[in-house]
Amino acid sequence: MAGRILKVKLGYNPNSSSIGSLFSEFLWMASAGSFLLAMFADLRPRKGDDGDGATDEAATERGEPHA
Amino acid sequence: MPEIVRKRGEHFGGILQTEDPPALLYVDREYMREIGHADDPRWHGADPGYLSAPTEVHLTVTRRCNVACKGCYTDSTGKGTDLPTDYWKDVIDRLADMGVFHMAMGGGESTLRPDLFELAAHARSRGMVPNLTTNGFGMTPEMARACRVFGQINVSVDGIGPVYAAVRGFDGFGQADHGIRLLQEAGNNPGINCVVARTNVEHLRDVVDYAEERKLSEVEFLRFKPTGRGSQTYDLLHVASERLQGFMRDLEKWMRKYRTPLKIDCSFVPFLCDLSPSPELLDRFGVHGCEAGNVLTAVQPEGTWSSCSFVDEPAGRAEDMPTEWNTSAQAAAFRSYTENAPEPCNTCRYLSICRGGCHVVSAHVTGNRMAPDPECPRVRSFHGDRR
Repeated sequence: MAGRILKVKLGYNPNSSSIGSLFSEFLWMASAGSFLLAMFADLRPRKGDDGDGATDEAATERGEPHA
Repeated sequence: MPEIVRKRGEHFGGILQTEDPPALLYVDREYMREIGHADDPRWHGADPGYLSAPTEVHLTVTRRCNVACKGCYTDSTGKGTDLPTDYWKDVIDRLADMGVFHMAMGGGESTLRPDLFELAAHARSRGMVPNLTTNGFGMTPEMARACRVFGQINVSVDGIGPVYAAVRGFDGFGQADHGIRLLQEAGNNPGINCVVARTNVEHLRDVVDYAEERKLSEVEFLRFKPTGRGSQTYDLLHVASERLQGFMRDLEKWMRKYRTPLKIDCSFVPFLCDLSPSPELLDRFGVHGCEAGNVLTAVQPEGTWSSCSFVDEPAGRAEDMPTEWNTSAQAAAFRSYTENAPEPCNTCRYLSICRGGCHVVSAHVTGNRMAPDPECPRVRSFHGDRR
């Protein structure tokens, strides 16, 4: 697995006027990058899986339903 | 375990949407291949320097409101008419086709629209997550149950008890609190939006205490913006730069003391950078200043779109946003700030993070939207203006 997570934006933004960011100790932690990788380490399919099952905008363009 | 529920390709690779926990992950091309996205048209050709579509769009679904806050950034009143349901559904369809992941619905007071939940359900049916800002007034048990369609709901609470009235100009804390309780009883996990103004800045800890006691999901602090009625009340209500620096230091302490997640909006990023966090980590967690016309755009209740909710001039008709995405002069001006940044931004190590701070504040205070945020501590220091 050589692919990399470049950036993680956690949570939803309910604020309809601007974008919110978590004011977190993560922003000062040297180990935060590793934490992120660990949190999302299982997104990639294991051997034998067909894929991720996610929908994409191409599916929308084809008129296919989203999950 | 996180699961990818939606994805789209980008020049650098792609963006993945997960739930549990909810997140957007920016990944490289190799990662995309590893999840079965073998190739993408956006991987060929030059890097445009901006996303193929916004990740989130802010929909001001009405300019009608049941209250009259003295600093309202949309200048909302009890009057006016709303665009019809079918119009908004068409806009939502177009945003879904662009690959937008999240929507934030607000107003005015969005719950005054009888079709609000229908629009939110439509966004869900198209794969997007609708989120909501409300003042909580008029919330009923039935409405609170219907609110479960939203990913996240924040209720506007600018202060506790009389401080609420001092900021907003009317006594509304009790109704907002009642709305929050109904939302919780219906199984929602609401948070709070709190605008930081001169009238509440010494009482913000009370808001965090309240959120902690009520076990709310978050408190998001927003900088006071000089738009709508806020442009007339800005001198009276905005908080001085030095005090905002102190507020950031307060937040640093509170994040260690409280369990409630604390958030700041994009306009506070110059003040966050003043605390010298790692730029790499800020980028890694998607903490950026102005992302108008790129990561976010806004749709106004008149059916126009703009690069940000606080930008008054329309960039075009909302239904034309997909076709104007690559040609909009307004969006291009925001996107190119880092390339054209004047001093002191162009020598700042946070330039690519902060992107000049809040350009709506720049426009109001300096008359030039693309000037550096005049309240940024570094900008003030550069101008010898640390009074």
